[in-house]
Amino acid sequence: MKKISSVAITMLLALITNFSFAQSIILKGNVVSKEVENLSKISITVKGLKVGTTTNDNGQFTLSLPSKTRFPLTIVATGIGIAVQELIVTDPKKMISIEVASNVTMGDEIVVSATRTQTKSLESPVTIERVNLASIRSAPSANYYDLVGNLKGVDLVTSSLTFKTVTTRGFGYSGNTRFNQIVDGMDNQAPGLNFSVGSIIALSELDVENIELLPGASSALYGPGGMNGTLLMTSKSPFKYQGFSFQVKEGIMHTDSRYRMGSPYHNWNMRWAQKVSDKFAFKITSELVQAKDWVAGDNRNYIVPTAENGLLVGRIADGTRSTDPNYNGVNVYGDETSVSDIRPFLQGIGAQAPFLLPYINQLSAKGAIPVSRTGYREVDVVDPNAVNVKIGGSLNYKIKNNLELVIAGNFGTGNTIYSGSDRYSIKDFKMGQYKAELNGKNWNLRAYTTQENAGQSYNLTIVSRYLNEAWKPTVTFAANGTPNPQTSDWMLQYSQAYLLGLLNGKNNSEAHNYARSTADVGRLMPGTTAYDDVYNKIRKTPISKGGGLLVDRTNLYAVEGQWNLSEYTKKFADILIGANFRRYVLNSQGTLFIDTAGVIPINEYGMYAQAVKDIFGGAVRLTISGRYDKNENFKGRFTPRATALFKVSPKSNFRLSYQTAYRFPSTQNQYIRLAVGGGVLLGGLPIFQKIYNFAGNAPIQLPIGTAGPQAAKFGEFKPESVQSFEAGFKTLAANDKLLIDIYGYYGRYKDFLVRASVGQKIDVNGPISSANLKILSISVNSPEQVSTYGGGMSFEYRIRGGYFVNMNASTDVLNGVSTNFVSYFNAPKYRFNTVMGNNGFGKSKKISATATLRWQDEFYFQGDFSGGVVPAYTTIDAQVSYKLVETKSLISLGANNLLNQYYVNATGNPSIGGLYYVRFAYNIY
Amino acid sequence: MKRIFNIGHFAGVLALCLSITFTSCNKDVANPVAIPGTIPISGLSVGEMLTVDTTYSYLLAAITRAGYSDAIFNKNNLFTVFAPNNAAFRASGISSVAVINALPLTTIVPIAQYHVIPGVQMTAALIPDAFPNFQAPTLFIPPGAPSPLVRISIFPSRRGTTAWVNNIPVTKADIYVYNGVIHNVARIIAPPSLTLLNIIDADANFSFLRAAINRADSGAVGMNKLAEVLNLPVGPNLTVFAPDSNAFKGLYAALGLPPIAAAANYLPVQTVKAIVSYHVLGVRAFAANLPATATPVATLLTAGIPGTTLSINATTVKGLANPSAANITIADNNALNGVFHVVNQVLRFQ
Repeated sequence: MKKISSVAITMLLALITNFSFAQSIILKGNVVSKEVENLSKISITVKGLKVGTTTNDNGQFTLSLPSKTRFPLTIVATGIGIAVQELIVTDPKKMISIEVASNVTMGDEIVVSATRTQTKSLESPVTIERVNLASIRSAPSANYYDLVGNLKGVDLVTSSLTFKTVTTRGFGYSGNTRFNQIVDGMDNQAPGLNFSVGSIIALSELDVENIELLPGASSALYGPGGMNGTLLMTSKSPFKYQGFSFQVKEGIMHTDSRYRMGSPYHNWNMRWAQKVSDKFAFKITSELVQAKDWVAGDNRNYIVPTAENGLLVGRIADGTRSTDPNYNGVNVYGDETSVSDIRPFLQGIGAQAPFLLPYINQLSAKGAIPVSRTGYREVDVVDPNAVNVKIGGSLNYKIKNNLELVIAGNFGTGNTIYSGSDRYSIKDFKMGQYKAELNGKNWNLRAYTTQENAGQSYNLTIVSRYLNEAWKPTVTFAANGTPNPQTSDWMLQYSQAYLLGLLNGKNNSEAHNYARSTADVGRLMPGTTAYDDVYNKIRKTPISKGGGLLVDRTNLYAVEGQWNLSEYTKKFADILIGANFRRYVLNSQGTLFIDTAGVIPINEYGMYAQAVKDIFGGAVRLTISGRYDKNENFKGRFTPRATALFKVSPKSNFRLSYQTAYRFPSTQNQYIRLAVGGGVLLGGLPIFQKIYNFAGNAPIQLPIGTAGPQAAKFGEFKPESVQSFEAGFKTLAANDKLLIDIYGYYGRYKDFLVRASVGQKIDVNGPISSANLKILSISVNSPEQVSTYGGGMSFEYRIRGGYFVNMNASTDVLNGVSTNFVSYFNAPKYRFNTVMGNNGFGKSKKISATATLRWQDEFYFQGDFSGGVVPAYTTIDAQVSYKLVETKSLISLGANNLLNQYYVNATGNPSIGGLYYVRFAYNIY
Repeated sequence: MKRIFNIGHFAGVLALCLSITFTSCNKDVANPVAIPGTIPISGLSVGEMLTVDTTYSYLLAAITRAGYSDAIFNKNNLFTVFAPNNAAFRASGISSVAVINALPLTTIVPIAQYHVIPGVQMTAALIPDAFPNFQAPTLFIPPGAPSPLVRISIFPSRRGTTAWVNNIPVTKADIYVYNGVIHNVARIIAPPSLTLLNIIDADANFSFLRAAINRADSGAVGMNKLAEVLNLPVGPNLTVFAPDSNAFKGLYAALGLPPIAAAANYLPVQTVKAIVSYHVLGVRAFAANLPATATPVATLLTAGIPGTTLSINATTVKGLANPSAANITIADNNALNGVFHVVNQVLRFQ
């Protein structure tokens, strides 16, 4: 950040000296209203020109226009809680007075993302959801990102207090790769780790102007990835929103000490924006969140798929540490290390003690005796501190009236937890997104880069397993790979003690527990120096070198541009074209990707066009979009979108759309090579088949079916895609106080990117057996086609006296999946949200309150890390605020999960409890 | 519409929504479910059975005195108990609880330990009906054992519906208890304390045998010496058909050798070694375990000279070259490392 600050100051000085005195026409005026009390901070812009200002505390404004400006022109007043108001100005010398009305016409909110052009939300041709500034300000949320979860059709997966993943239309999991997140035009996906980091490295709360959500396929406009939706966050321009503001939220969590002792929650926000001249403005924003994280404490027994049990996905099973010797707790790490049968150890003892052999043989006749190592609970091993620091800023310079240069950056760092194939402690993770952008009157050009550094992130499972090995090896292996048990080996000690337990008269279960306690004597215990020394050493050693550290410094470089040709084509149609280029540079030093020989670049480009035409005198608006993308590792793809908006009445629209969307395999799908518990995760590119010599040592499909071993087949590795149909209806009723939105969709997915487990012989001349098979988990396209359908509706009602009630309900259903296919659909069939409140009680309207309620149905969660039933849950959030008008401040008291009813929204993820906070905010608008 | 949505109603809606929440409890992550044990939790324990059935009061007293009274009541334990009832104790020469309580611990503890196979519910069906028997560890750890895994074995056997432990008949099998199973036995099963060599050395009647062993071992070292194996308390599991002195004298007379123990020294070492090995089985077979009808059984010699079996039935043993079968004159002297039977002929394979 130091660099940016010094650049900022240099530019600031340069601009102040050069560009302060270029304007000539001055328009003066004021905003008046019968309904709206606060007339400050109302934005005044001129249509078609890149000039604007905001009103002062008395509603007055001054607007500087270039000397050559032609009249008449249209002035637009926009602001929170007021309806957009336009006024035609013919005489520049006359004092202007714009009367504004309170914003009761809800459909008038402007949305951009549905068509990449400004459209009234009522006239959006596809379903769109919007979170505006006012709702962020009044949201009863410790973190604004949670608000997205109250929109209809949205599921949140919470893998940490500071790591939440948004999903629509199913297929939700931590770090969803089928859902784009775009922050000020930049793709927010971490290029190496592949998850979008919107909740940790994006905008600070006070800098968010709005959030728009496009549920469903949207890659026709936003590029590969948006198969299930796109979330767009837009920050506040420093020209429009100026001054210094800050907000402090201080709260408490874990109040019932169920998982941790009660602990504080801190969330501090700051934003400073200054218009230095009519040409130059800048902003600096920051946010700090610090708390003790929620704890994933699912200690249920989990059966993972193995070559022996033939499971496709894992499942929760009965069993505790003391009743299942092979127990593997969901959020217990290190117990994944298991010997599938200790009978050979017992036989080895019998060989040395022949008088026990008949006894051991009789014991062995009962079947395999699998035993796992003793694990560590998540709460004991993970850094409890969830920390998130965001720093952002921009320099905005108006080169000409209609040409603005924006140099901006967002940097974030912190500790959080992510659930992928395992739980990962994302520690000291750093990601920065930096852009330079030129915004013309009807075009823009943007270059940006995403710089990722996984920091000290590590895999909890792997570290815990190595920790066990470092303390006491499970089984010693000879140089040729065959087991060579030593008396110092944990499993041999266990086997001896198990036998001894039996010989001392213990029953089988007690003998196992005795064996465990004997083999575990002197085990490294969390909280001791000995433990910390070993743990820290392992977590700081890269996975490829026998540790748990993820090394990843993958970067993305992107250039994109868009040109609105409507000016030239409006007689025929409104036409928009755009193009983009991306270059990923994979850099994990061979620890995550197969980049041992050096960084791996991947180039990708795309282009799109959109035409909008009103027909039947404007009663029907057709939009046709198309997009072509090419990734150097895959064939080019064309994706079309067609929408039709039928204006049934001035305040009712019926919409229909057809879109296709797809995503290129992620960088990990392409190039990963990561040894995890059960085997090696491999990318799906053909290069891996060469490196692993599939031609000379053909792998077999796992699990092995009743027909015996079958050779694994690999088809073309290609993008997955979806075809989506949607219909919707949006109307304003009840004197424009009730906005109703209804939608239904049908989606057909194919070429799902999944992983196939195959077994490759270690000794090519050896037998097909567990001991001689190396398990490779390879990214492939599933031949299975699945379809989904669903729908939802919302009611937003503005009642007199400032009261409002918003309700929505939605459903997502997976259709026609064969029983042996794992789709990871992961969506509750039904969910329901309601938000109600009042923007200003009483005479002076100083008190406001908002409450939200969310309910979602039980569903079965499938994931690489864990799977199982996620019970239905209800949460209620509430906030009461008091305005201190004189000091432009706000004091609030709020609660998330008011009743402290713990719930999880995906298995293996933390139980979320109550968070109670007070807020003091200054000058937030 | 306006009337419907007045503030009173709004409050009502709010209250309704809140009440839905208040009455609903989210399910936090469920607790792991314990897997129930396979042992039925109803019924009596070993301890309770021995208490309730007063015909076991001597055994209970012995077990109590040996320090296992808590263990046999513990449902997390599992025992197979060979239980002599009071009559069996008396038949074995222990006439009262007072006698038990007067015995030194060094005597009573091994006795109590030797009647129990730990960690298993060995019902009669689990005892193999095959020659010779099933070798099972007991609670009895021999003094000076290098590891607590070293146990003195007990040898239950079954032929059809008849069962024995070592040489003691089982009078009633399969009395189920929830932490094990009890089998009544006709006598106390005496734990062994001597090695086979100790037995040979202790009785002058086996001085010829001892001399033959010495001759066989001449020039051998370590475990290649028969005497070493016969004296190893843990590990070997043998049956010795020991010809008494008269039997050897008979042999030597036939060979034209003087009737003295040292006559073995006139024979080649290998010959003596083969003769002695021909008297030893690599398994422990009590008389009750021997085949009812004459059956060829492998000896230690069979591994070196194939076909050199003994023909054995319940009371006699015949060598391949013996014109008649030898009688087992004294059976079932149980040693730490095998069982010792006395025979009245030297067994010859050529």
